[in-house]
Amino acid sequence: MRANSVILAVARAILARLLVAIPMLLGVILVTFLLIRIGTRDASLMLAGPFADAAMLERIRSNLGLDRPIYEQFIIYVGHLAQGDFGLSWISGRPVIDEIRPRLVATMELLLPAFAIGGFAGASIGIASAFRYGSRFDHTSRFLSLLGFSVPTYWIGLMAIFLFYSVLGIAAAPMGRIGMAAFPPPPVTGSVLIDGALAGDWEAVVDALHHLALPVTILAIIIAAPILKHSRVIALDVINSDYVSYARSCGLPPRIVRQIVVRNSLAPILTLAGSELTGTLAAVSLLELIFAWGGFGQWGLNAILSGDFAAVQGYVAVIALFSIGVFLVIDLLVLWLEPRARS
Amino acid sequence: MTDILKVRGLRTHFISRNAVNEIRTARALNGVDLTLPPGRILGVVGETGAGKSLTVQTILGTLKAPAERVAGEVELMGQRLDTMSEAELNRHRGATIGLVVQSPVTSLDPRVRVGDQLVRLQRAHRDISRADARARAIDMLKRVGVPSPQDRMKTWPHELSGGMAQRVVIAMALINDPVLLIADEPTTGLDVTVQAQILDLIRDLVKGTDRGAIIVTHDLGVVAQYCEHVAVMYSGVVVEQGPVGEVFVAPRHPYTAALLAAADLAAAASGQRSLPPSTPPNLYDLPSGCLFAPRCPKVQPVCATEPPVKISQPAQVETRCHFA
Amino acid sequence: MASAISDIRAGDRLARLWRRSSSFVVGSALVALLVLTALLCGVVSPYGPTEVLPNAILQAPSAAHWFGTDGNGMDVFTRVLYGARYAIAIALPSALVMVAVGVPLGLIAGYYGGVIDEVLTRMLDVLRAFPSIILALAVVSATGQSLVNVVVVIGLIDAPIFARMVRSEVISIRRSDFVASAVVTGNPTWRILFVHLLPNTIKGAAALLPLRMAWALRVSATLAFVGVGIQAPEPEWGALIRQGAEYIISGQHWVAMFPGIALVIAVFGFNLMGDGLQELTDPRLDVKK
Repeated sequence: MRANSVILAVARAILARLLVAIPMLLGVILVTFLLIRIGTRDASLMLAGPFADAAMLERIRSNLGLDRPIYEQFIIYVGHLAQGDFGLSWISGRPVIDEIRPRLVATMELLLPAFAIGGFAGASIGIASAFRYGSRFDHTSRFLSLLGFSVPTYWIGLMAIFLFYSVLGIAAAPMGRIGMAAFPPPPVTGSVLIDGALAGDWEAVVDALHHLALPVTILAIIIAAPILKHSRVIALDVINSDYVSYARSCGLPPRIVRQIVVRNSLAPILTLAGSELTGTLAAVSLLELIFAWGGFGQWGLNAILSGDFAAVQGYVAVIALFSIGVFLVIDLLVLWLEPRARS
Repeated sequence: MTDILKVRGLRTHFISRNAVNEIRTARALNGVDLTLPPGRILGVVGETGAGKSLTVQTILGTLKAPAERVAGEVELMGQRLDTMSEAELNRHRGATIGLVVQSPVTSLDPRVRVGDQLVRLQRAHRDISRADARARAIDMLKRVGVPSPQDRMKTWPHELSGGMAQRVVIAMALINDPVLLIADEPTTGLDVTVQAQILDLIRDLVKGTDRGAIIVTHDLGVVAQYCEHVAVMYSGVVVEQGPVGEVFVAPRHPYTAALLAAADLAAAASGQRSLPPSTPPNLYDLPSGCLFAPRCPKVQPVCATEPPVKISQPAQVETRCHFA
Repeated sequence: MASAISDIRAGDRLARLWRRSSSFVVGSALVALLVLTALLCGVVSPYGPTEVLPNAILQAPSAAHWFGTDGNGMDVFTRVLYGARYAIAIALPSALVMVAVGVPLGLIAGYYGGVIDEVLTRMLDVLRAFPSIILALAVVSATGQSLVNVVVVIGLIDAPIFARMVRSEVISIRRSDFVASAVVTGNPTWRILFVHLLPNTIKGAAALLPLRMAWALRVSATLAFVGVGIQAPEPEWGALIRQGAEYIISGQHWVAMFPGIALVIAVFGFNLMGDGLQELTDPRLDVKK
């Protein structure tokens, strides 16, 4: 009986999220699709090169389906997407999906630990600030969070490389995920860290950690700033709530009052962190560019720069899918944490 | 016998800054005196904004900035509360003093089941095993009239109706055997039958024991029916206090009389007219004499200049009026 | 004499403002500094913004070149100062686009509700779930890299934020008496929207503006850094950092560092100002300090 109702609630949450997510996914895809068709760059010109004649251009256009009406092109494209077919890159000619898959692992290697560290630090400091509302600690943490808000990811990345690599020489060279002279472990998951551990190649693991340290730290700081700011406000609202005043009037010791505040802040902070996580994909892309990480973000930025719009569409679609996935996970976590969401 | 609660000269101010950064003081409590003997229920009445709830918060020491107690003493069973440390006070709150709040639905911790909240409150104040605490909690829920208490233990607060939430909050207030029960508008928003049940419950708990209760309300009917003593508040001052039988039958303070007239309880008897429709005084700029003077039907020149002192009347009644 | 008294009053007022929100005061000062730099950079700078000094290529900071010179032999200090003009040229017009598009949208959605409101809220969901910087990158790269495009794209992407703010404000006052009486006395809808409802939403929109301008500055710099948007040799801060990126590993940090500091100061200034404005308009925070 109890288990059934839990399954029902979970199913309802998933359905509700998909109802929001599918129009969103289609919207994002449509917007990028239209932009590319309306935009200034033409795939056929790009593939044909500067010396192609009109007949050749025409042939390429019909091969790519560019001679059909635009709504037909869109339907065909979405149909392919639904089957996991992102099309061929305009530049490499390889399937976009094959280019994305291995790179995604490299990106997650950066993103997930940074998010865990930054999210935890931001939420803890934010809640601590709310408890010390108006104190020097509160002012300092607010100031630092606003500063973190204002510092561009790529610039702080460059400065960190200058300081820790060029001057101090303690960071790894900002050129990829593993030293140039090192042999990467046999690929299983695609993550150097995990593959190294699986193969018992501790040298590779240490090397991978060394390469991860700087970008992960920077990304964690960038992620912590907005989460700090928002969790402070959320915790302040909880502290001023009726149930916290009541808990105090009941003489519950400060330790338990703190626990009540933290527990009740958690679900809204998580929801907020979810929307921050998708925004973080932009920051991670820029960091990858600077650290020559060779991940999905760097690949996507390069696709944008080189005008490879089949790849750009793949990039955008994967980001949208990723954010839908994140929101879904958050929805389920909130469902688990928040009794009110269950009924 | 020592009084359960004795409050003397309680003053609470709201101190804030306005748009041009000048310090502004709203004088919300202007010398509140209350006395509660054991085995009795004291009703505190007055209009909205008279400072009833603020008095409760000041007694419990749970004022939030910008509110601040600037003067006054609070004594619980002869023990000073106002000079106690926060940690010492915490041992009384929720234990020797049980609180029934105005808004039970939003006051229960939304993330914790009803039963666990009752257990948590007991274990915060006494050395008791989880199992014993659960048994006591179920027993208490039954006593406050919660049907099938065993099942209710597992309920989440948001699943409770207003009346049920109110009973749970009463159970919370009583679970640690308080000496003093303070109920702040305990029956607002409840239908009449539930209201009567809850008030009967409070009466049964106090009557013939050495406990006491304070019921804050603006319902004079509740006071007439359940309380032995009444304190009438106006603008942060207790203008009249005494046995309900005395005060309600022969009000000496013009405000009490007007209040009763408005409630149509003693209107026929005394022939009083209700209050002129003007607002209570501006707390930022209180009159220097009697605070009620601007609205008083019997105002005299002296009322505008001299604040009235407490006058002891026959039959344990006390008033603050030059002409009572 | 009279001016001395008004000076004292002004100073007094500033001191009071400082005590209520130091963020607002510091932020406004930084923004004023930015505007001043943009106005005076032509007078103050020792060189032209794209003037090549063939004998001074990639020189470290010195008395002659406070912030050093870049790989083309251009004076970094001069270029950083001129960058303030780009900052203003982006922040102001894109804020204008945000307001011009977002506010009417929000008014209409809030007033009419129904399908229009539904569509707007859905659009907002999409934008919220998608990294806006990447959207801006893709759109600018597809539609062409010019200052006008950058401004329009940034303005359009951010317009829904204003729309949402105005919408919720309108919904909260739509049912109030003064709107009802405006309707009853036969005012045309456009008049109700723009004369009766609009003024009530201005406070919220104004408090939001500096924060969104900070965001606009960040995005435009990011676009330029990636290589989409305004390009070197134009002295835009993001473009300057892009130029300096290649010298970081070899240790010539100054080419990227100084424009970055300028960018941080400008963005931080707008953010502080916006944060302060919200502090000043939030009644919850109006307590003794």
